Amino acid sequence: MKVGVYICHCGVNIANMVDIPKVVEAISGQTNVAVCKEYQYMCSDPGQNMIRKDIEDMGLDRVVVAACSPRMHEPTFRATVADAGMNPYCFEMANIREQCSWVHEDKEEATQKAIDLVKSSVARASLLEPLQSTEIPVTHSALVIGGGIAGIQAALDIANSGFKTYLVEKEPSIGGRMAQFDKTFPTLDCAACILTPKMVDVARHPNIDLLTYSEVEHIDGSIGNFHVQIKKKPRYVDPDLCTGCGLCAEACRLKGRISSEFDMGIGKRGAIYVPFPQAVPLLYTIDPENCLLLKHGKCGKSPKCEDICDPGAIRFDQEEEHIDIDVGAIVVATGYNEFSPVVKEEYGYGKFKNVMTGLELERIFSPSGPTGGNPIINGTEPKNIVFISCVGSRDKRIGNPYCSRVCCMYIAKQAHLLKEKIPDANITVMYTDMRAFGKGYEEFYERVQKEGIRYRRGNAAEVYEEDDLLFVRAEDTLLGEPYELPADLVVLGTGLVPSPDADSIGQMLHLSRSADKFFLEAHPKLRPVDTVIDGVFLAGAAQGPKDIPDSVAQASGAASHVVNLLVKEKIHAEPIIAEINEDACVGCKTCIVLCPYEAPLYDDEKKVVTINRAVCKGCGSCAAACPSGSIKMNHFKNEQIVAQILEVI
Amino acid sequence: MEPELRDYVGELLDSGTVAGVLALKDELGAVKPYLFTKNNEIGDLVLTSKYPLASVMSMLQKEDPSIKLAIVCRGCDERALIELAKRNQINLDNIVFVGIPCDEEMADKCNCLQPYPKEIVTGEKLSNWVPKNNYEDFKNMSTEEKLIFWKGQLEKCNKCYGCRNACPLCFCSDCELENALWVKHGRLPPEFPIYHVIRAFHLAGKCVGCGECENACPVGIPLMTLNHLLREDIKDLFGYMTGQDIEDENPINTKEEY
Repeated sequence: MKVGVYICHCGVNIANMVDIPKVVEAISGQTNVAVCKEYQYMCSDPGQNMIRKDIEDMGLDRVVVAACSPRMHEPTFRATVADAGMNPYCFEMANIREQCSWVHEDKEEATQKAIDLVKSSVARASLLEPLQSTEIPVTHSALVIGGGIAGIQAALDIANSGFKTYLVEKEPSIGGRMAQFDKTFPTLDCAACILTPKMVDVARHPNIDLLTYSEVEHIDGSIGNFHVQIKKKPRYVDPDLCTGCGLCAEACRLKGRISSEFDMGIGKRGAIYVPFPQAVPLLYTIDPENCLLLKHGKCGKSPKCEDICDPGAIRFDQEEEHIDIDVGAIVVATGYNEFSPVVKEEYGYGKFKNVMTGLELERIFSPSGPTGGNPIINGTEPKNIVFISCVGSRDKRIGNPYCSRVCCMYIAKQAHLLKEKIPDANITVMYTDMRAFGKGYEEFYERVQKEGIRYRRGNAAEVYEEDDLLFVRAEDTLLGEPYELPADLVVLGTGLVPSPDADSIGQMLHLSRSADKFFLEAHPKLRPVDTVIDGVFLAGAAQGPKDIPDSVAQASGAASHVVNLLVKEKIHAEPIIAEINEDACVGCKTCIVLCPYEAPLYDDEKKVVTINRAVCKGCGSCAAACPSGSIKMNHFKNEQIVAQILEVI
Repeated sequence: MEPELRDYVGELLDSGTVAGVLALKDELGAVKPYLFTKNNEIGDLVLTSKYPLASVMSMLQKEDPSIKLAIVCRGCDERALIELAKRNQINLDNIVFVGIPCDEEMADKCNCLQPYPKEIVTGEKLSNWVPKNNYEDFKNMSTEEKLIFWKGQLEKCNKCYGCRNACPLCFCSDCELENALWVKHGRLPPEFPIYHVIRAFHLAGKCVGCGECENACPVGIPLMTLNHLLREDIKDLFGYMTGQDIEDENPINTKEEY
């Protein structure tokens, strides 16, 4: 056994607090240590060359680098030793920066600790075993879950790179939240005008298979080879025959009697409907919860939609379909829901009819919305309007400490639009802090202030009603005085919460969530579109509150990672995974309960557990819990860990 | 109690409800576990003393998973069977429980927390039973005193593996107590305290308090003190008692769903 040990100065990061020559002296001559050297920056080219040369000249079979956290540079050095013909898993890293020089103030003690850490790594390295990675073929197609702007962008980018892409959307149309907006901040582009062309591109793209009104039911498999089952809900309309003419919706006996989800319950629709005029696909859908025929078995003498539809597209006998697809990568773009302000009782949402949410007001502004774009709230044009920011955001009491990242700006936009439509309106924005961080945002905020919209710092305490008039009670925290304003419209700047679908999708894919319940990225700075599950990527507000530009940028980022994967014919599977000795396994299923990834599977014939190598992430939970010690973690075997521990105690 | 039980068991065999009844047999004064398959043997069925029958049942089922058997069981046997079932070592669907309670003398001997099974075929269960020994003497010791106490006790260990062999919940074929990485081969007494700490770790959330380990120990290590405190901790920390219901999830072996 010949171990080469290399101590890095990391400039002054380590050398300032650790006496490196002393470490070299202490390690040289230790059991199995063939050579011990120091260098300024081991990760630099000369540093790496030093290792390569020693492997070639001295025939080293194990290498230890004592430097920074392995998180960053373990892959670097594994590649280095592999270049020189050594098995990359015979490399070991000792962290003497984050776990030593950076956290200590006594040079002597830090040096001793560095010596102990390096000795410990040498002991472990001596017991490391060469591992071989296996090759897995890649299925050259992708699944995008969620057809909002993020999902649309990701699907288009992947499809444009030449790969088959399945876009699954649970609603009858793609478009998501952005389709509900009137204008977008800060440029005041008409949302539909910039979104609709992209939606149409999706529908027409030869590489995109668009599955609307569909839900992902089951996912198994792993990077390169996921197997997905999708449920296509019945629309009760033949997609090949429906021309989208809309005569059926006009004829429906329930026309104008059912709350429209798309219009946030303000507008009404019939039992057969399209959510909005620019819907893609432009196919009508019968809502089985309300349709008289589907719910009660009877709709007058005969269903009017069926009578009026010339092409004969109505299909009351349509059944749900289950579609199986194979994909190599998945983009999760499940988006967000508006925070429900019902729990903020003090604002009277649901109690006072002139208290509404930002998204509801958005539908009022929309030319295709319930008021045709006229600012009419419950029959009248409001004159005294109060916006309250941070409703359901930055609020520890209700468990949402995070910033919505959009309500400052959409309030500014909505205040501007109201002022434009009702020039003599008194508009006040009660804000916590103004966060105008994006490109052109601060400028837009200034413009809105100049239009005569009053910004008062300090959030509203209460909305109450007196003699049919609403009053908002607040404290101006700049002046330090309480005040009250009359209001005939109170708009709550509601924040963002993860879509409820994130629960089922997250469970199917074994994705982690951060404390805010949005999906957790693999690294907050360096891997913001990856997840800990290889082959699964995040786009848009599913990962955290985002505005449109950020959602689109992240979606393109996720798509590029998907494409990076799909262009490969084969990928290498990580060999640092659990292995089970089936002869010793007693089938107690402890590992099955603990595994977050469904890697251990019970073999009913043999009455033992087997490990699905493709999905094991090597977390080690099973190996630690196995009572008979039948499961071993490659690269982290008990003997290797014990040797490492014994050196430091 | 015995005559009634013999009648009951005889009926199970006669009616063909079960192919056999696992219980204790008196053979010329020697009491041993026995699988009664014929009614005419039942005269030899006895209730005392005590034997870890759950382990025998597990072995029988592994021989023939389809066979339906009854077991004459005390509270601890029943709890052990339930814990074994949670770990896929036994199929409760093929077991008919013939529950019997322990009398005060036996319950005292084990300092049992629950000296009766869920359902009793014959006999009276001890009402308002509270074990007499609460291990207060031990609890009142300082940490240093506890260390001295256990060092003294565990030094007696001659690594006979009797505690493990008698334990109804030790079902592994390969045992970590025989892994030289943890418990060095050829060393007596075993290095303090690894042998017994491994056992304690493996028994947390699993020990049903049957007392077989302490019974089996030839050098009189008070293993039930350790196990009792372990059971108490699991109960205080997680509100969990072993062997109550197959559906109860072992708190030591769960993961938080996100």
